[in-house]
Amino acid sequence: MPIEKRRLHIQELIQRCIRCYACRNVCPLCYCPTCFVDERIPWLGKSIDPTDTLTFHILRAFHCAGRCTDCGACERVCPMAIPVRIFTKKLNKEAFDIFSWEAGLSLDQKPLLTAYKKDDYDDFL
Amino acid sequence: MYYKIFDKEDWINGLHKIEGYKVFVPVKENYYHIFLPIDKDITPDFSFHNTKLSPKSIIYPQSERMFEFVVDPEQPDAYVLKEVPKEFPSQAVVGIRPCDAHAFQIVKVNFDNPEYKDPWWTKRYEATTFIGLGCNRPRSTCFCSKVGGGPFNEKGLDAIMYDLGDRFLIKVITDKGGDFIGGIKGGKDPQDRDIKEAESIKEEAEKEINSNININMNLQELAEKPILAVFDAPIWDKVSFPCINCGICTYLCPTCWCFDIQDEVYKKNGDRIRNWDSCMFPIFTLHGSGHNPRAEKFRRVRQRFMHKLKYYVEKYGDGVQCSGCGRCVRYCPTNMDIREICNIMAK
Repeated sequence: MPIEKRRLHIQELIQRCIRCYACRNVCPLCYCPTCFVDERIPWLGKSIDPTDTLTFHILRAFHCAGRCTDCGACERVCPMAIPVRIFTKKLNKEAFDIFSWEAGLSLDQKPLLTAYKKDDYDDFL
Repeated sequence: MYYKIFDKEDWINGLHKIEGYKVFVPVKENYYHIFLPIDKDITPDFSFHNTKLSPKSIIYPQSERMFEFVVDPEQPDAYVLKEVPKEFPSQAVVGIRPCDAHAFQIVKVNFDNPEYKDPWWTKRYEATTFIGLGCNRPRSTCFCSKVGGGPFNEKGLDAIMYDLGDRFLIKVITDKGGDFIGGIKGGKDPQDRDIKEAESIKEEAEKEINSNININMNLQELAEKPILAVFDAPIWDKVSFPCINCGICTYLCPTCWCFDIQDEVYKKNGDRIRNWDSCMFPIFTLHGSGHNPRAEKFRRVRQRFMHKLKYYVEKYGDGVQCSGCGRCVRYCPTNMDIREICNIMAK
């Protein structure tokens, strides 16, 4: 999808989000003692402002990057039938394309974002 | 009190054309129905059990800008809270189920009482006409008749629609209802057999809901049990175990009313906003000091059911803070059931 159309498409997908946080609470990897949405530094507002809702979904997906195993609980639990996995799968795809990484396949591998290898992709530097 | 009967097509055309009201109708979106303002592109769909979200947000929006202020010390009105000017145009909710209409009456004691009148809730409620749609086929999760309601109960309604298949028989209950119905063309006087058909549909629905064994809630026993006996009962660890502390039950519930007030400031301008909040969220009771009296999950879950089934009953003496819509039962991701928990509390 062309970049200009993506934001509008995503805003439509999350239009019905009621910020119940069921997706976050049911996620096996959302174990932060204090979630970023509850921190005193306001990363995002608590209203259903569309930009704040977008921030929640995108930031949560990024926090799960490299750790999400696509269990699908987030999408299954959403009362508003939002395709939550659209965000997490995108990050999973990036992890695979850039670092050949699939989370959860081996207990011995160090998590993607905690380990650095000399030949890691670094064209963005 | 009188009746009018409409062909369904005339009724729906009338909803599009009626003047002087912002009309909310049930609309199919994704896999569910929700109430949306009618528009030329919006088709009402009255063949639904109930909307996913209750119509609570039509009177009590999820986010409401209450006040605005400037934070520029140079300005003479710096830091002064000013009420945001608002309009409360006439609106109508058509197709609201009796449980959801009853719920507004349950909630009214909180927002409209001798000690306090919430300016936004009361004005919006007064500006709204409720045209209900009786339930021909209650669902397995419905228990309105157990908590003071019923599939064709008229509490909180200005008129009620009976779905007769190809026509709607409307019973006008209040003057407000009459004004709205009068604005829709095509209404005829019904024949006796139409009214009899409606009555028998109502009886069938009431029989169906009352024959559902899942709704045998021991409300009388719970009402007689002392508050502290229920509060201190060793049931809460087991009852609260499945809860994942999301806000699905709270936000879908037509009788939940808790909120959080937040100030949001951008550069020199700020807003004081009221947002829905849920007592299930871990930081709902977090104090400024850092203390959290409901840090443990069992305390929060206990709070929800004590509030719904005990505190509200004892404070207002008019039944539980629940209208039996069943959304929490249906959509809780871990299958917690208020009807079951009520009976555990009542033992």
